[in-house]
Amino acid sequence: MKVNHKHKTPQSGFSLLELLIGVVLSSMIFLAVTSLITVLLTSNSRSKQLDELEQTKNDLVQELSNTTRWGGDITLTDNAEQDSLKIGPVGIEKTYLIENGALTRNGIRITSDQVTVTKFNVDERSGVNSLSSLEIEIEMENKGFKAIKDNFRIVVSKRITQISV
Amino acid sequence: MYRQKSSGFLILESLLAIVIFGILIVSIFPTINFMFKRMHRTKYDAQGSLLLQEGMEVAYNVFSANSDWSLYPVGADKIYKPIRIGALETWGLELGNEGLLQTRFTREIVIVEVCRNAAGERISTPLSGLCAPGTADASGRIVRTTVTWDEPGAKPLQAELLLTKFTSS
Repeated sequence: MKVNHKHKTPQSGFSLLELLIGVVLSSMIFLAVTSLITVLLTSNSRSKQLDELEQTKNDLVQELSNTTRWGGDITLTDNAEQDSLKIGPVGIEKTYLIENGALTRNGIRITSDQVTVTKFNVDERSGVNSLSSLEIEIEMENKGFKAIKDNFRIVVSKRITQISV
Repeated sequence: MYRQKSSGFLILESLLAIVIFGILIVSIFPTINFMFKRMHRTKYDAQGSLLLQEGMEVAYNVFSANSDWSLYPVGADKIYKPIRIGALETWGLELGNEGLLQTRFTREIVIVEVCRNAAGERISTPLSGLCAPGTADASGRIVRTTVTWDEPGAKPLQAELLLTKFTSS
């Protein structure tokens, strides 16, 4: 009598259902990781651009404040298009104005090349000619991403360095 | 009896892995949020510093340009604000509180007396801003500017300016 032994071959691999579930779960994880990386990269880039603007602002505040306080005579040219500011004795004065999107001092750029200065407005607020007090408004934006902007106002008064008795 | 060996992950194991991954993701986002807040705080500190400087510089110009300091009564309870006067919008100081500056900052300018002892050395000005009789320096003033803003962990910015009026004897 013949006995038919049917051997059941052990099956390896995944069933269709397991495969589908695995694909769905993998897609969810992939989506989450991609979003996270995008957010991290974007925030890092934006953070760098904002840092650039902040650093430029700090530098300008320090430069303009110190020069105005102690630099000597101040001459202001108030134009509709752009203002220029001259500080110091004739011949060795420092001239500040916007040139090609940068704030310059005697023609030399003093702002970062990643930053475009769009406004440099200076007004005299002192009632006494020899005691200048300037209100300086500056607007700037990031060169690559114009949406990243900053604007600020510096108020600085010339210091009395000579006392006449 | 053979136990069939199956490869792959159980649904339960996969779900557990996703939950753990989700917890990690959720814990990272507050860190990113904290970084953004930190960035904003640095920006607010810088804005506050500029407002502080503005208050001090206006006060310096006003007192330098005016010889009659009695126009500006002293006292810790008298709060001043910078104003612009006339067509030329020159600086002035006026009693009164400023509204919110740049939607978030509050600035107070206070003028107090400079107190000196018999030897002419400076001594602390009382909290009221007025010196004890006989110790007030008529040619001196202290201008205190304080800038505050509402943000968790933010500390007020304060600066003091000592002004001295030189007169010929």
